[in-house]
Amino acid sequence: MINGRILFNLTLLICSAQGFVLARDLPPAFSPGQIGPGLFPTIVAGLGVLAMIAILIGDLRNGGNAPSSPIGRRAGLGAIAIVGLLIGYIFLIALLGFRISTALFLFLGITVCSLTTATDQTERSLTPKSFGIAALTATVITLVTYSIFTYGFGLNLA
Amino acid sequence: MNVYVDSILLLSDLRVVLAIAAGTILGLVMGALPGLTAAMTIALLIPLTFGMPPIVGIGMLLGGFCGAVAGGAIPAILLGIPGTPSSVATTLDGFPMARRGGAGRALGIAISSSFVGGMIGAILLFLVAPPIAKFALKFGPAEFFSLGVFGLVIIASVSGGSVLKGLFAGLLGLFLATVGSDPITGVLRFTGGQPALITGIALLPALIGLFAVGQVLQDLTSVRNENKDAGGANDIANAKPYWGVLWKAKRIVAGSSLIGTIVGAIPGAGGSIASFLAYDQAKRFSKTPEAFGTGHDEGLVASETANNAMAGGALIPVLTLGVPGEVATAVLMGGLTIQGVRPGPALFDQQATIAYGIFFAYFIANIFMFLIQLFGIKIFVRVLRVPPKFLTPSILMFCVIGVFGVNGNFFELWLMLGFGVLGFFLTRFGFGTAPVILGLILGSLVESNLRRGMLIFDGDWTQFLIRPISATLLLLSAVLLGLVLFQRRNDGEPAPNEAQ
Repeated sequence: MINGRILFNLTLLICSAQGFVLARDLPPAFSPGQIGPGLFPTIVAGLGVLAMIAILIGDLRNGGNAPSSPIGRRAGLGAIAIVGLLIGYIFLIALLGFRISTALFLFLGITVCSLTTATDQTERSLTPKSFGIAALTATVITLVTYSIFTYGFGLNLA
Repeated sequence: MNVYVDSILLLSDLRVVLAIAAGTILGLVMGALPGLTAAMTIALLIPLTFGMPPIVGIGMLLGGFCGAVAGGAIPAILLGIPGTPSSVATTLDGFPMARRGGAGRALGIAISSSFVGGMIGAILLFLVAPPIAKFALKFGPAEFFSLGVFGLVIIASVSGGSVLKGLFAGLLGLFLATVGSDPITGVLRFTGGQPALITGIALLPALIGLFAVGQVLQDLTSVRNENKDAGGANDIANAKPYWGVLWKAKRIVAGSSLIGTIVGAIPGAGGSIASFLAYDQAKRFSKTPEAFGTGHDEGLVASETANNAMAGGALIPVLTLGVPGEVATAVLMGGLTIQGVRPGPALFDQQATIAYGIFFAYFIANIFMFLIQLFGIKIFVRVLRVPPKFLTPSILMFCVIGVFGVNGNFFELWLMLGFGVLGFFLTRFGFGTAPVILGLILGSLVESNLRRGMLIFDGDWTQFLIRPISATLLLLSAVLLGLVLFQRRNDGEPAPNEAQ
């Protein structure tokens, strides 16, 4: 059965093999006795392929289901949403600048985390009050952080 | 003698003192939050140090390292959840003591034990590191190549769920280190036409991605306990130094400090092993072994002394050989490299003032760690009550600031995200992230010395095997790898997530 572990192993195996092929295409050494730019990455990628094959066989022998803590649906969706927000945040910094994009990211991030990290049912419910707290927190953190890093540490967060 | 005076003068700058204090405070806060590791603390501190002179930045990183190791005791005592892996043994006696209403006493003993252990570790670092570095000055390309291999084998053997997976992670790091312009021929390797990759994969996005973003994703998907019940958190008025307890347990203090420093200096051993080993020894030689695990002073003293002494010991291989033995020091080494410091034997020869400055800064960081905990313990206890819903997005925001704020490069933000996702899966499936970063750091050392060696030895690769130091290091790598594989085979491989 193909599960996440086996899929990840296969991805790494394909990447290692691809790295091996690319490394073999690099030019050879300029003079005898020297090592060319391709030899070291070729050896590393080759060893990587061998190691990955051994890992894959080992995991397949274990049925690919060596115990790992299962990710709950809510927690999994939360992690995906956070990665999605991070992608949006990186795009928005270019478009809207640091302050607006950060405030938006924090507001949405707090809202997503409220839904996914709280164990208490009442804390998971979204009310106007919780939105208000999220918005206020996001604004305060953004402004304080911006001020500290721009004026205190001299970083350019335009 | 001059070098000592020069390094003390270097530290007399008020900015250095303030940076160490700030780093220590941030380290304590991060260490006090379960799930936030010392490695993550240092990774997040690195960007702040960019605009600082090297010794100021280094002071901040050392403060963060010290603070994060010590801060782990706070949740271990109050919640029974170790803030960092090195404080796992602290929960055994710290938490029961807090549950009995002795939270203040437990915190007080932990604070004073951490201080004493940290100072002894710092003294041993000061005494032991220079002779090791002097010896390592004899190293040539063959020895450095073998040292790099040794470092990778060690960290790969201990950091992942399985040795093979750890080795693969190390190879991945080595491969990623070859991205960019070849240092000898100038040929571009694996850049995919991306100009930002010509100089190679930047260390900072990799560090922050693997150790901060990856850790956040890991925390989001793992079962968490809400930090509502900080057992006895209100009873912290007694959090004062317990010198009498330490004096009474002076043999335990001495033994645990020594164990901590030695274990810390052994690449790959780490803080949790140090504190458990010290705890076990203290219990073995105690007159009241039955009291261990019920809230016993001696158990707490042993664990906290050892894990803080370990921090000093862990700096020995980093500074003298340029080989970090565990995750936090691997990240710290990355930070030092970014600051223009080249850890390794030459550090004591070419940057002696900085090297001794690091020693003295480490002493100061330990003193600050003690004073700040003593007077600010109430604040650090409150940190435990910060809900994760505010913490998670804030940490990610700091990650973005850390990478973007330095040079405004969007490509590095994508790189950070990529490394974050990679780090999440590597951790989840038992590969570990420490070997990747170590491979990335040691990659150029290993490759350049291999190529330089082959050039010097006229293509005779057997020189790597017959030179005594090089041969010893390679033999040690092989023996260690064999031993670990043999032991794991006998014990059965641990489940990938257990290793984390």
